[in-house]
This record gives sequence, structure tokens and C-alpha cells, in this order.
Amino acid sequence: MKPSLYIIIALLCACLLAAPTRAYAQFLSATVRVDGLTCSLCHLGVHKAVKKLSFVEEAAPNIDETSLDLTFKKGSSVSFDQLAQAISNAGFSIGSLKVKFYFQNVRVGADEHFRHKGVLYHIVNAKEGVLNGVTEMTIIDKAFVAKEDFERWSNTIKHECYKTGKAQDCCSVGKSSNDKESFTSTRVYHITL
Amino acid sequence: MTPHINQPAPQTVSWCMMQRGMVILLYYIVAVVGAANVQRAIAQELYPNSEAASNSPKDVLRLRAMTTLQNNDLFTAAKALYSVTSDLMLAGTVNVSSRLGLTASESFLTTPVFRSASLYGKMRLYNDDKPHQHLRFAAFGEYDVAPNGVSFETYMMGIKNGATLGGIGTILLNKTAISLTASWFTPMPVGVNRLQSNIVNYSLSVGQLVLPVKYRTYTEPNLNIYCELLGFIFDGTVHEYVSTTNSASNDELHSQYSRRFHQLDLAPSAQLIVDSRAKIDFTVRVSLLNVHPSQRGWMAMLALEYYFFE
Repeated sequence: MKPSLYIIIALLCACLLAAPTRAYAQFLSATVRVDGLTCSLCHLGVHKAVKKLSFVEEAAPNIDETSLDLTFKKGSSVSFDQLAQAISNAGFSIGSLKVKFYFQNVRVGADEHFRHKGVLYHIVNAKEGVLNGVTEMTIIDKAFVAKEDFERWSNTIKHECYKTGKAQDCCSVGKSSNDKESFTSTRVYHITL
Repeated sequence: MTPHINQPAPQTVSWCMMQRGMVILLYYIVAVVGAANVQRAIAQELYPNSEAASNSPKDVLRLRAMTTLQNNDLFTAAKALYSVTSDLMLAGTVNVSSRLGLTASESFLTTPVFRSASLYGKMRLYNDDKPHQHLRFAAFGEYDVAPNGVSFETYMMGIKNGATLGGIGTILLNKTAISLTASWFTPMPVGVNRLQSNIVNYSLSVGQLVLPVKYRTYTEPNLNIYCELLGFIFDGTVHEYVSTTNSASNDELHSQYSRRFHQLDLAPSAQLIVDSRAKIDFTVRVSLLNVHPSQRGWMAMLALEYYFFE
């Protein structure tokens, strides 16, 4: 093999190692507990409404626990607001929403953010570190927790973005001016790990 | 014929029946609450004789057919209910009636005659959901037209001329569904109105899931039991007519009198839900407190209802 070929291969390897590893997140599944449900007929109404959502692959009901185990379509844009609206249209409320994400080199920590498909995720409490693999997280915004839980979180989280659900200046601390512009008014979900 | 004022009929109060009914209801509530505390029972609020404060999911259509037998009259109603949103539900009802003869000497059923039509709207105003429980309040309005006249008996079959406004509160307490309804009926001068009376309606409904003990699938049948108290406070004028032709509008006023009385019915029901879509209700209604001159006896109602989710 010619020395120049060695140089090219060495340069390619160096470029690959030096390139920043791109964060990759994927929604896999979720368990949503629906509050206020009292009968199988009501549960079926919720099930039908959720099944209609374009990003839902499967919705396995647990009638006794008044919950649904959702599987998301691979690569789809999952909208938790649409999920909450569907359950509200069925006449009920979300009591809790636990979601499984597949992380690849995503930096986490208290008040860290990551962006996925145009939506911001504000990590409320997590140990400093980098996440890889499947991790369960809980969405704690107003439409996704019981009223008492939202009040409890509101006493803890003083950020304006938690009240509005839109990214505020607090979400762009330490970011460049370009990032700040792109952050403002973006939908932000607050999550715990 | 000149109208004249009749003396009110003597009021007869079935106190013994009322007390017996109250005791039955009390036992029922104690049994239901007790059962709910020892097992993970789930309440039901799909009351056969009253609407709960909850609504069906948005865009769900319900079709209901009811038939009620009272003495020799068979009242049949067809009802369509549609949830425009999860907070607003609209309903329309058409009532017909026919005479039924089932004795040793005769057996007949006359052709059903149109009796009334109504429009109903219910708005959910407050909602507090918790795991396996909720508290809800709703307001409702109804307008009924019965061109061929009404009476107090037909009023209880939903055949009336006038407007109704009311409120509903529904709570799940210790896994028992309890609903309270109060409403005010104002008569409207439509056609031959023989019931010029404001009526206060109230009801207390309790419901409980009996089977299955533990929910597994949507397809397994549900058996629910209900107990409802249905009350009416009548305060107004009864117009009695004498029929002169086949058309009710040509009837002559025979008498009119002012009355104030209180009607209270106990309505225990059994309900079967099949495939989480179809409901079959069976209710027997017995008077606990009845001071109406007609001394109406028991009534039996059978209803079928289907939910169209798509």
C-alpha cells in the first residue's frame, strides 16, 4: 500500500473521531394514566380518540388501571399536546405521562435543555452527565399531571417557561445569540428523569 | 261548556311506602359504599332515568330507544344524543304512545300516535378528575313541544309543553357514583296545554358496577345496578278537557283547578353493557309519595342504547 493511502485513511479516521457526536433522541413508547375514568365504555372512548393520532402505532388498554400503553410509530413526530387534546376531547384528563426515549450522547442535568423535532425539553431534575440508551422520563407540564401535582411542581419550579409552556429567556441562558432567537417562543415541555 | 273551578281532590300520602322505600335506598347506599371499601369497585354513572354531569367523548353519537309501560299506555321514545365537544352535548327526542290491551278478553296494541318532540342541550361547567374519581357540574336546558296536549302523567314520560332549565352535580365518592339534579319547568302555551304549572324536578341517583369484579377487556359484559329517587313538585293549574272530536284542539274545557302536590318515585334499575358500546336498561318505577288524584301505579321501562364512536 502506498504511503499516501495510509495518510488518507489516517486523515479520515481523524476526522471521524474529531467530529462532535450528534445527539439523537427517539420516542419509543409511553404510559398514560387517565384520571376521572369510571367505566369500560368511557375507557373505550379515550382509546378510540388516542388511536386516531397519526403518531400512535399501538394503544394497549389497561382498563382496571385506567391507563393506556402507547407505542409510537418509528420516526414520527410525536405531539404530546395532541395526545392531551385527544384525551380532553374524550372528556377526561391525564393523571401522569411517562415516556421512554432513546438517547445517544445527550447532555443532561438540572435545567439543561435538549431539542427534538423543533420542540424543547427542559430537564427539571437530573444528575449531571451524558445519557445513552433508553431512559424513562415523566412530563410534568400542566396538561400532563394531576392538578395537585402541578401545584406542587409550581412551588418548586419558578421558571416563567413552566407557567407558559413556551421557551423564555431562562431557557437560553449561556446560549449564543442565534440560539436565543431560536429558543424564544418554542414549545417547551418540562421533564424529570 | 263553561269552565268551572273544581275542589282539589283529597291528598293521600303513601307514607308507609315512602318510609319503606327510603329504608331500601339507605340499605342500598350503605351496602354499595361498604362494598366499595372492601374491594376495588368502580362506580357507574350511566343512569337510566337521569343524565350525569359528564358528557360522551367529542363526536360520539348515541341512539336510544325507550319504551315505558304504565297501566294500559305504552310510551315509546327515540332519542339521538351527540357530543359536539367534550363539554357540550345536544339531544333530540320524539315520543309516541299507543294503547295496549292484555287481558283475558282482549289483546291489542293501537297504532302509535305522535305525542311530543324535544331539544336538549347540556354544558359541562366544572371538571375535577382524579384517579378513579371525579367531580363534575353541568347546566342544561330543554324545550318540549306536545301539540296534542299534556297531563301530569305524560309529563313524567317526557311529554310536555315548555322549557326546562337545570343543573347537575355528579361525584364519585368511595367509588360510588352519586348524581344530584334539580331543574325548573315553565309551561309554554303551545297547542292544547292542559298543564299550566311550573314544576320543580329533582333527582338523586346512585350507581354501582357489579360485574366484572376486575376489568380486563372492552368486550366483557358489564352489569350495573342503580337506584334513583325522582321527584316533582307541581304548583299550578290543571285544565281538564272533554273530547268532542278526534282532534285534541277541538276539545272543550271541562274544568280547571289549582293544585300543589309532590310526587316522589323510587326507580331501581339493572343495566347490561355489551361490548362497551350497547346498553340495555331495565327500570321499575314505584311511587313513594303520590298525592296526585290519578294515584298512578308502577311503571316499567326497557331501553336500548348504542354508542357510535366512529
